[in-house]
Amino acid sequence: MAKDLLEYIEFSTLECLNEAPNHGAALALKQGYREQDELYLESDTDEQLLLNIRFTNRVRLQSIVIKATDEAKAPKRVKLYTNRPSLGFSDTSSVPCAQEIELSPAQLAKGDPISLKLVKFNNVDVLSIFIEDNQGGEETTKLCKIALFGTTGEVFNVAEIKKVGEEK
Amino acid sequence: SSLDRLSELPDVFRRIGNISAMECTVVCIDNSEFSRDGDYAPTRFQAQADAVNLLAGAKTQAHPEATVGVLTMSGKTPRVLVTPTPDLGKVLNCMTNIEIDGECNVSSSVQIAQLALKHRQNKNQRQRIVIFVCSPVTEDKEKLVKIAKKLKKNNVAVDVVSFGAEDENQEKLEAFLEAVNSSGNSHLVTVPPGPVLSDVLISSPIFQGEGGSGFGFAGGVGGAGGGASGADGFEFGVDPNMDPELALALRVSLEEERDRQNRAAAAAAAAAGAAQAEGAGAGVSASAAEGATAVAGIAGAAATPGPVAVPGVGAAGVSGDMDLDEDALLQQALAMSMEIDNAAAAAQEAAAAANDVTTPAPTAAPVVTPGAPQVAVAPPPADLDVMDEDAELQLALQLSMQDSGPDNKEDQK
Repeated sequence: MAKDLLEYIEFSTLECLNEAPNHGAALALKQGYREQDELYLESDTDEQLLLNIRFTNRVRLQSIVIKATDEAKAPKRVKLYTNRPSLGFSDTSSVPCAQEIELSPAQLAKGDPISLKLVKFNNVDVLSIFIEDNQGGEETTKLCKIALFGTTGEVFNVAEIKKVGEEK
Repeated sequence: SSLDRLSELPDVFRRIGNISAMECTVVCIDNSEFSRDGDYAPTRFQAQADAVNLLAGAKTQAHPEATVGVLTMSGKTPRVLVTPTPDLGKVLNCMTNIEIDGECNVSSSVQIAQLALKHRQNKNQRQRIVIFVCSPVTEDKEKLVKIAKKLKKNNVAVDVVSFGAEDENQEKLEAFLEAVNSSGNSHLVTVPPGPVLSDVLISSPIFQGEGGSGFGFAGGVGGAGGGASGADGFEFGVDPNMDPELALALRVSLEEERDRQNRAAAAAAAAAGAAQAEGAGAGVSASAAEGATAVAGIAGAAATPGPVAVPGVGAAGVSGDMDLDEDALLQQALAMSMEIDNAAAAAQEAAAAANDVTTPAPTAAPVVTPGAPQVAVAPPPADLDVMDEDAELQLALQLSMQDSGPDNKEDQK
């Protein structure tokens, strides 16, 4: 069953391009921070954001939650890319995305999980979230929570290996 | 190669090595006709070249995986002379073949630099552009700010060195810096004619960098300047290519020593401090072979310089500080290598001396084990006061260089 993949996010390598100095990606992703609406991720020079999230395990993504309280500055078009480490803004136009999502204000306000095309997100090491623009065409984009749900790759349990054919 | 051997080091060292941020730097050089001007000796261009050589050296020494690239901004088009490389030799080489021609095209140059950074081999490296400007910038302020914002958006830091046309460019460059700066990662240094360009830069944030990563290099330069002509100008007097473990150990001890000195900076000065600093500068370069008692003396000497070195920090002036730190860190490194062979005895000494200098050493010692220079086992410490500080250092260095002799053969491929 889908579980919160928070514990598999590698924060040491977390990168968010164009994040504002005191409003970084950790505030939207980390335990506790993401629940508080006053701690938000905001963009800096323009309205776009690009998060590169590396996982400690290979994961299968099933859904994503994005929550934002500021309606006008909330993200609108979001593109997800898989397994492209260090994706840059200039790459987003040339590299095909795994899925493109357009968020509705209702989804953003409630933080509804948005289902993902399972086939495309089967073996993800690095997830890139490109926020292209916001609802109100504002100069900066703000969001207070990003959560990812799915399962980790099947762990091969050696203890489960059973001898075959010699039971007597 | 020394980079391969880095993986042999224990994790602790690798983590500590990341204290100074691992960067990919592209240096943009102003080789326009304006750089022929002699208001910065001998010419603006030459002063720039010297500064670039020093900067590249400092960056590559600060972190073993740091890379530096060079591009020229003037001429028909901006040209990348060296794609980012950890090889200082390549950078120094390319600086000798530059032609002075035309006018700078800052916007194209920055775009090209950004591309070069984007295609860096190690994506974990932070991105930085260093721009030298000694001619009037033709782009207008708005365009520069737009360029700056794009750089900031892509997480690229920028250092600008403005000299020669400082007044004309001041407003534009200040606007540029303000737009590109993100939490102090970018700097603008304006150098008026008169002082040597390189000297001004060495004490600027461009060299000092984050966490004082340039600090050790500055110390090396100070030591080499004050010491004998035999100094090879490498940080800590040890070639990291010949002995990366020792270089890394010395760098670690520098960081620790700096922390300790910061805490003890207020301690009372002693006359011995200044003299010691001078002796250290010379001691780095020369070498002399001495008897076993000298070896013994080192273990004890490593324990004692604490109270003496600390007052030295307070007593010595700015230039003295650099020499002293080199001295202090060498002694710490020696303490560490002594620890390996004689952990119990040295630990007892440290306990007896009740001294800050060696306390970091025992914790680092077990980790330093693989490949660290093996120094002969020390007999009980002799009379330290009689030993000349200078001579002890020379001997220790000589011994460690000798002991890493077999390692050198491996390194040379």
